[in-house]
Amino acid sequence: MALNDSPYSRLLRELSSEPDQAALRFAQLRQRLVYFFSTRRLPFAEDLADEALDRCARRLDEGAPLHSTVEAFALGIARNLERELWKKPPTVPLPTHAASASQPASELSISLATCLDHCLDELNPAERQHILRFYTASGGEKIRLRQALAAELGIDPNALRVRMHRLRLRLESCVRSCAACNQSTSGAIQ
Amino acid sequence: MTDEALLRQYLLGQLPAPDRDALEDRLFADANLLEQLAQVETDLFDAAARHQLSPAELAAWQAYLSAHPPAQAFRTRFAAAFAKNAPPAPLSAPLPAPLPASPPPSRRFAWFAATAAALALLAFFWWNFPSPRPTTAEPVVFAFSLQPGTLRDNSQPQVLRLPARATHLRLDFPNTPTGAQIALRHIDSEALLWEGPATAGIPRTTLRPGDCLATLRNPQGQDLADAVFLLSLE
Repeated sequence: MALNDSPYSRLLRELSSEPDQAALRFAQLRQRLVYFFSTRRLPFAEDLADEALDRCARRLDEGAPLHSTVEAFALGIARNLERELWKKPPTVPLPTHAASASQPASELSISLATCLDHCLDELNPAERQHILRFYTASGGEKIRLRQALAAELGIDPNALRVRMHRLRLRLESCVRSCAACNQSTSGAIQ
Repeated sequence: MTDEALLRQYLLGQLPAPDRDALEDRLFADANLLEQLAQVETDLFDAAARHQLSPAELAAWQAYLSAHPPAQAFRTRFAAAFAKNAPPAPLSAPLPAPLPASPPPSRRFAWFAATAAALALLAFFWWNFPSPRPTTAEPVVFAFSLQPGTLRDNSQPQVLRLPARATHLRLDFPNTPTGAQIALRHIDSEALLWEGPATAGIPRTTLRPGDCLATLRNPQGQDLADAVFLLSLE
């Protein structure tokens, strides 16, 4: 069943009439909910975020009035869900991490380090130099380096921070895919 | 307080409930703030990988990560690999020349100044961050009055910050009968941290940061009251 035919259709429509924009705002809403439950130290924050989204979609599908934004509506639902959880903590199955269980930690770090090198090489030289300069220093040196980098690029420090963080997420995504690929390859060889 | 500091405290679970709720109202309305939160989260991953968090911050960070372990485990390993493998950032200033075997007087002064600064820094840390172990054998008991209730009230959560000097914690329920017992559980792990007389001090070493549930029982073992509180160890 496509999302457009599901209880999610009104939720998506309320987020935006443009499908791409609706998808982006939906992903952002889910991320906010994950933060909401994580900061309350509730286990399985992502599952709880999905539960809150399900409830939100169902309520809207049933015709609940929207007095403010979808995000504010979802926040209210998340707060109610949290109260329920404090009244009656859910029983949740323990997660199974087959990957970590089957592969020693040392092997994982080696493959991650190799993947990091590979993914850093995939960046263009300027991007590689910028991300390393931005994230490697610490303390006062970090502030000085970031200011210098922002000045070199002719952008303000906040814009630099946003740009570097997006680059960092791209790098993380590349390393994640590479590590997963390595893992499945080594699994196939074994 | 800057937004960055506020967001950092939010992730570490250190914001009082009213401030947290106000921040969430903004977070659910502002996409830029969401992006900034993600940046602060990334900075915390790096700080943890580089051992730049205080023990209390590290405990709070680990409690945060435990909320969705599979996704966060990767980011933790990535930050560690990034901290370990990334070469030192190129400096714009040239590196100083190596010191000669016998430094000239001006260098000797610089060495002396550097050593004095290091000792002053050491003294500062020694003075400001004493060892959590007490210097005397006497226990230091920190008493905390609990408000019974398993439903944590969003507007007034019970937050217990155990001072670094405290060696024991005593939990005081109102109207505790003689001979009552207390059982203390860690909510996330469901571990029983301690069980014993209500008037006794709970050793600091048995405590674990995070949300805890204290149950007061009468001498017959019947539950009289529950109280939920967020424990942080300073």
